[in-house]
Amino acid sequence: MNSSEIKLVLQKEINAPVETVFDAWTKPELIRQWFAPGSVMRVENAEVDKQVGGNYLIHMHDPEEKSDHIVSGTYEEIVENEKLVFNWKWKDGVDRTQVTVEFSAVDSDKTTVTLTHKGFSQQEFADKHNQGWNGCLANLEKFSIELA
Amino acid sequence: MNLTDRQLDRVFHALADTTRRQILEQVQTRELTVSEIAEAHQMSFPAITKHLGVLEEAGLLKRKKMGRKRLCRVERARLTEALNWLKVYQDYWTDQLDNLKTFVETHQRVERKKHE
Repeated sequence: MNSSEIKLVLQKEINAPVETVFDAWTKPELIRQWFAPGSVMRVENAEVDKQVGGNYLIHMHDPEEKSDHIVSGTYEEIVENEKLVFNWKWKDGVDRTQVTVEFSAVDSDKTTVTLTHKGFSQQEFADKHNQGWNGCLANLEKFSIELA
Repeated sequence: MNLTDRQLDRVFHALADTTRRQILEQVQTRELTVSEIAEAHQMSFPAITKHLGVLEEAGLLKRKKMGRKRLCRVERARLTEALNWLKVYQDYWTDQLDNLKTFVETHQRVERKKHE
């Protein structure tokens, strides 16, 4: 395989100062309040050791399906209010992928967040299948996925 | 239909190369001959044929004979299937960033009121 790889890139503009947005990613008491997808799931526990080489753990719980989703990893790079790089591994998964979150102040009250997720392999795909994650993927027609 | 591990390995191997991804992009809109592709990449015929072979083995590309020419076209269904799994994460992070926005913007208003 050559060095190029498949990655997922998403961007979001948020009406808040960059410090506030950075805090939301790095303070456990704040992570607890938003880091669960959908309206049903909730964060049971969030632990953060905010230093390079330090670990984080986020435990999400789905009360309807009575299922637990635990993700954890290690911080690889931390630049205050600018950049976070951490690896990402689901408890039941095999792969360790990598997430980069970049924070850019548009002005004093507006921040652009750019999230890059990479390092996927075929195994990760197989895992997602096993976890039954992809319930609603049948009608996929468009990708806004960057193949870089 | 779900792809087997072996098929997925081939697809990911095929996609993990810039030239091959560019070829797929080129044949998205119209069918091209092997020499047209080779010319666009300034590559030798054998070199481009090797890339096309990898794409074909992965089921991402079909070559068919049209008289003396061989036309290449993308097998869209296979590409879609293989990339479905990325869509899982795309949906996940789209949701997460929406949550983040809602939370941060609300949280901020509350914090500001406290300080007023």
